[in-house]
Amino acid sequence: MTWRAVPGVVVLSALAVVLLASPARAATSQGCSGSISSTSVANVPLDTVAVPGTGGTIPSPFRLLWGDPVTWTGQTPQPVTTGTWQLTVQHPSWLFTLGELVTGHQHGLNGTFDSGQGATTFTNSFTPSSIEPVTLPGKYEVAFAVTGSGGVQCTGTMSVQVIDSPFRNPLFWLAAILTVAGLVMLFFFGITKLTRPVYVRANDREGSK
Amino acid sequence: MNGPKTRHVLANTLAGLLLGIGVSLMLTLYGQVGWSTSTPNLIIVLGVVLGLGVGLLPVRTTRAPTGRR
Repeated sequence: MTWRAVPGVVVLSALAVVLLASPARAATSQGCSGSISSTSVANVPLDTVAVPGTGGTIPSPFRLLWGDPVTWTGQTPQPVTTGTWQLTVQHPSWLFTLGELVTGHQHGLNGTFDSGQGATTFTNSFTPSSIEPVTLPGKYEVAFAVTGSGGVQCTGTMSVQVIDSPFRNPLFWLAAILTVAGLVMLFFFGITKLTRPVYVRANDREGSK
Repeated sequence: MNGPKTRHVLANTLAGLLLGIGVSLMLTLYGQVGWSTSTPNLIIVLGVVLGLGVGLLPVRTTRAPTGRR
């Protein structure tokens, strides 16, 4: 019977979830090196990652609070005075697109920097919530690109975990409603058919086989 | 009597889909699963398979009591 194969399919699907999880990738960069640090409440250091480096992996992502400053320092072969930076989400699942639609969230973050004087080492600081008030907390693979004056280009990738209370996010409430609705429907349509037997006449029982 | 309509295959599959999306969203928002991985999609598929499995389970039937004379 078909339904007898279902437990096997469930086990295989669960194995696929585990086996197809993305491999750990460390922070990479091309054209520059540097570091990024985040702070928690009252400017207490939260996390630091060097790029390129061994940090910023999927199991151990660079953690940042959406409402607190993130500071990055870059080193390039040529001096840079001003420029732009951009963060984009890599390989977004369709749920992320749904989140963008629900929250009106922009795809990634961007901004400008001015180091004041042309130097090969420059620093910039920004608070994510001041650029994008709505956040989608969770783990991301992000790509960053820094373009400095004079055509200096720096790119790289790393894993980031955005920490914020999910309760403030409309997606959390959508998820809660969907979960409860799914459970209620499964109980009403699925479990009750096992607990409440359907009374049939003897002829019907024989005819159903 | 024990057909697909009584089993509620579609309703249970839809329930599994809703449950899968809800759980997947919860896990990604809490950082247990990455937004940039295929795991959220697989959890939804798992939910659909669960709903379909429950939907395909046969209805429990029992012999109706005989009428009074």
